[in-house]
Amino acid sequence: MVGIVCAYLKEAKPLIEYFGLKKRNDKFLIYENEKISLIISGQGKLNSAVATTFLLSTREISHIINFGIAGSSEYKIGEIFLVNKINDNLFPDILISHPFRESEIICFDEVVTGGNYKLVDMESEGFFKAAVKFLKSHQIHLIKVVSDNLVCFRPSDEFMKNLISSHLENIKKYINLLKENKKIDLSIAEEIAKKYHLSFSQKEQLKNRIMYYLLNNIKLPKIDFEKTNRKNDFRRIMNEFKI
Amino acid sequence: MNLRFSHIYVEKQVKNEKYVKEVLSKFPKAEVIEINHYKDRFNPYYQSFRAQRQAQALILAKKEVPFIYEASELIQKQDKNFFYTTPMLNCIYDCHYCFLQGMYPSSNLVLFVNFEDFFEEVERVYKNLGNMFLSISYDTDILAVENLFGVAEIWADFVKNKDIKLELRTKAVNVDGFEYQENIVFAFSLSPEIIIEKYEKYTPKLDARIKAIKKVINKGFRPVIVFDPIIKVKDYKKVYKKFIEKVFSEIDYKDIESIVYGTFRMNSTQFKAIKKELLSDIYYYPYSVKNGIVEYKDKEEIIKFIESLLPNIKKFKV
Repeated sequence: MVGIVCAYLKEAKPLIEYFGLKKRNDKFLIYENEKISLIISGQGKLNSAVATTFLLSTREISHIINFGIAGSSEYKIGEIFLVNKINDNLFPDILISHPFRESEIICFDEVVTGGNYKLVDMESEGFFKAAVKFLKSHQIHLIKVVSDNLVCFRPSDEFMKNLISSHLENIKKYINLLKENKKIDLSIAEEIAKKYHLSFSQKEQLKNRIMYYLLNNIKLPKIDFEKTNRKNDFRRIMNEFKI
Repeated sequence: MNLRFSHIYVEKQVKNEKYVKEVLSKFPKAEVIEINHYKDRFNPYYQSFRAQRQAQALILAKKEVPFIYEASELIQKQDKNFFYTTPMLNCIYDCHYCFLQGMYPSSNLVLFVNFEDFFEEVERVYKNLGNMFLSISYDTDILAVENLFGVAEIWADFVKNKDIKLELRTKAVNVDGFEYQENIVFAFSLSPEIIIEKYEKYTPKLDARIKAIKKVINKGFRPVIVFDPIIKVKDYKKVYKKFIEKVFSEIDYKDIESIVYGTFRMNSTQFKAIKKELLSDIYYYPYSVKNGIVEYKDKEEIIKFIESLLPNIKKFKV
């Protein structure tokens, strides 16, 4: 599942509609379908970190995206960016070919209304620092749309919709590029361990052996003999799984 | 698709250096990102070494002390005063058995650009000792990226007319640019083709490596051949017999300086770290662990067998 953290409902609405997300009753405002879970964090680093932590603690999330608006003195309103550096020392890993331009971002505690900045926001740092407690840096993504050239303003729903709509297809493409971690099915080890009452350490040895077989495409032997005692049974099992 | 060097991180303190500009000019499409210190990018714990392999980034940085290290017991010491240095961290090759995967938090390639600082320290230590054996391809494969960065050539120039043997340990084959130089030691790592295919991703094939060895011999060099690590694959005796016979049917052993050989072994902490991320059967074999080193239970038998196949020249077991 892909998580999305937005500061405001206004930013999230175009995504909620586009992906057909349904509202859930939870401690946060959350919109979900089978593939995406979107949480509204509220403004600022702390709120973003708390919401990110909540989402990652309560859902099986393989990738998480901070999506929202950002100010800029350099880029045009409406341009979209994938963030490659936050505050000079935090680096999401961008390992896939993607449809966006990239930029750094500086995260502030207050609204920024002047200065020279590529991108500024108030959430990215809190989001990233919370997310790295759960995921690796290539599973953490920040997508920002320039909403203003460093002026204080209150955007309308209509403005947000116009700002974001043209990017929805690319955001969808990007999400589709994010891969779930491959998991190898070792349930057979659990079954054998249960049947022959293997100890934890014996089960781990058996799992290693099964992995060796699977990675070498060797057919797994069938273990189906009469249970005797643990030591003998384990020896017999490992004999079947000879290297 | 591999996106190697699609992102290049440059320390602010080196961004204006001529060498850095030359390197950057070779990657006009790369995203260039300024950083304060390479460790900000390289060290964080929340990176995935394995995932980064699909888009290895390049980090251009200034190395700080120490500039050279005494060689550890786990590598071969073919000579006295054996040191190694790290002009680069990590490697573009992706060998399953490589300890770097368990040593570094990131698989991004760090290239240190302050060559003069390295040279100053090497010069100081070397003058005290009188001579030196220096491996510059220990935490990397320098020659694999020679066409891009030219690091080996810069070091070869530095050691000219000095009593420093410069070892270039490699699986690469781009040796055309090297003229004969007495104190350069090429150490070519060779493995049976099935091991290259299965465990040595992105490396040249065995035939190409043999061809490179022949080339340097023709130039007058006496290369070292490295059979390390020896991996106990299925029917390993047949595999290695055929392999070593092939090597010495194509290369006259009299043209070889020495042979270095050893079985797969690894520090157990690094072994565990790698096993968490890499799906390779190497990490699921039932080894023994002695004094924190993971190795084959029948290591002695394997070594004895390999030794029976080797020609009678100078050898170093590791």
